[in-house]
Amino acid sequence: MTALPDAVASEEFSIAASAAEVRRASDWLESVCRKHCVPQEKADRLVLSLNEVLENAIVYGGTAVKSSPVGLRFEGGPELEGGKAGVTVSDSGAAFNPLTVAEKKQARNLEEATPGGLGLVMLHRLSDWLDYRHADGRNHLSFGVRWAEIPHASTHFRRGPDRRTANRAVGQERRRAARRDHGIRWIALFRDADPAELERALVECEVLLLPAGQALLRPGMQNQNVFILLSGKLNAYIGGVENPDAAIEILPSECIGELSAIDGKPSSALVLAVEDARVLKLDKEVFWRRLIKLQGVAENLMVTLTERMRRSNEKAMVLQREHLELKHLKKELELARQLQASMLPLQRPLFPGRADIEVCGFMEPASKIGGDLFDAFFVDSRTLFICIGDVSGHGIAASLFMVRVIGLLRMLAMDTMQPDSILETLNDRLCIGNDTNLFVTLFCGFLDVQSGSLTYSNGGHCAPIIHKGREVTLLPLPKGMLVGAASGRRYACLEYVLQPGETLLCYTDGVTEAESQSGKPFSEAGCVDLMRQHAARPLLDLLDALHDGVVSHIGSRLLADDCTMLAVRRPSF
Amino acid sequence: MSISHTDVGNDIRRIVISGRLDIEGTDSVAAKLEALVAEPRKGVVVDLTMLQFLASIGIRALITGAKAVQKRGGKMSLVVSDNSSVKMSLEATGINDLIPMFDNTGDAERAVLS
Repeated sequence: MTALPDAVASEEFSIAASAAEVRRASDWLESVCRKHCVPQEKADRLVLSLNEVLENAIVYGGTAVKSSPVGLRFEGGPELEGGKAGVTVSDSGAAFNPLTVAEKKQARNLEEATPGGLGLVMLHRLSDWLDYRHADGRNHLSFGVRWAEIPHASTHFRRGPDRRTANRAVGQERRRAARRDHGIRWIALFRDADPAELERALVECEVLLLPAGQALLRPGMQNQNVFILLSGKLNAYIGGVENPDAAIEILPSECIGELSAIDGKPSSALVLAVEDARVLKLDKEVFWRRLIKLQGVAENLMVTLTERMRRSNEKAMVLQREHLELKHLKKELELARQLQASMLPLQRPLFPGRADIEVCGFMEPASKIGGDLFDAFFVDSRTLFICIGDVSGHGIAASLFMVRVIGLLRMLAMDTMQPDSILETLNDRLCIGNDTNLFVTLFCGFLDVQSGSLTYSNGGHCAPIIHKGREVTLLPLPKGMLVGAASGRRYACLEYVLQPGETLLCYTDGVTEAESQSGKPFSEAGCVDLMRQHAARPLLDLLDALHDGVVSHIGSRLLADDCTMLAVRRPSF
Repeated sequence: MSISHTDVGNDIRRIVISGRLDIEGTDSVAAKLEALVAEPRKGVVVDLTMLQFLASIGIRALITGAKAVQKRGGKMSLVVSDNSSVKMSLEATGINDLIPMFDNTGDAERAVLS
């Protein structure tokens, strides 16, 4: 195809030289024509011509044609000389130039008519140009079509980074082509319009080149124009943000901006060039005063609008459904959060009626639902069970695991007052069917509130802090692995006697490991400082002060980890 | 690819061809078309409005059919959608001058009865 310059969009394909393959070749050509924005009527011509060329080659090519695949090559598009596309078919059949065959004489009536030779007639009539050469032992037959992409020679391009050279020397050619091919009547809107009137109306209109990524319309923008996509690809985004799920694809020959040009309100959508696009810009006045009055334009506009509305509705339905699902999920999550919270003794302080012990908890999950837990309840009139734990991970899985831990602990604590055997049983139970590989660090113990004797066990949890007056110590911990990770583990227990006036602070590492902007953890030292400062105050105030301390330390209300505390104090006498 | 027919009274046979009359498509319906037009009816109306594609091989089959109808003293006409590629094929080959072509069944039926 010597007529075409080099830097032109091209596509290649090959088929076996058999009648059964012609359909595949047609499908291929149809799809590349769509891809390269060849107007439908021109694409039809190319596909019909291809059928005739292939039939000729296969029927008359002898056995030689079967010896190698038939090669197909497409070149062209709207950018080429203002609209040109061609196909070259190469085959290994006997050398034969069908273009030298005298064109069949038109029959005057049916009696005269003979069925042969029609293919060549079609080829000559449907193609705007034909070319044959024999090279490298193959027949190369080219055929093609031209159309006028630009409505009028006076059309000027807005200079942009993507300016092409195609519009330079071809003005005259385009003018000729425009007359021959009825200008841009391939655009559905103008299908039925009179070509001469259409050309007059479009004289002053501009063609914009939009490089990929550039916006044509933005939400809130005043728009005085109706645009028509000539080539390339635009997306309109519902809601005005570049969300691929909310994109409505605009196809060549479709209108853009007609709604804002109808009601005069600012554009509601974001319209972006997804690929380099060429857009015909029609001034609002030209559109309503002149174009809409042309034959069929109003009707075609309605069809286009309806089609767009339908596509947009479908998209909106999907978004709406997803939105509802999300809303539903959020509601479920909120319910789960409430349910989880209701399982923990969040009333503050706990056991306000008892004078022999002061107990208070605090919990703030980092996300809606967390994996931290604590519990405190009397198993008999003088024995308080306490525990605090931290499930690995966050989210729903962690919270479900936490619910399981709490339930089992309550059951086990009512059974035995041996914290080590509680942890052993809990560990084995949690290991059964723990497909999620979650585990929990846990501290638990029984406090005799009369004597102050605390018998406790630990499964990988951080050591509670004991505070009295100026003295602060960490509770010595017995050995014990985190719970739920491996079955058959043994746990030990230790005893500590909590003196009157002493405070035991259990916490999760979300408190001590909360990091400041510079990465410094709040640390046990941070807790100790505040415990000293607020030693004289009720536990409720102490825990609030600790929480405030953590928040001001990290410099944000958004916690990285759940923040949970349980404090127990024996009143001084 | 499909071909079907209905008879309207004793005079007219309507034949509807849909799909693609390319090499493959024509192969699959040509014999049926030949059989359908061979039965003695006064007129045959071939409805091509459902046809997507018409290559020269399909036009050959239509010409062969029209000649057969004419030989037994009948007439054949075509119904074709405006602005279709099928109409383009028929016009490019000038067949519309040999087999009358209409955009609606009513006119096509009147033509074969006249």
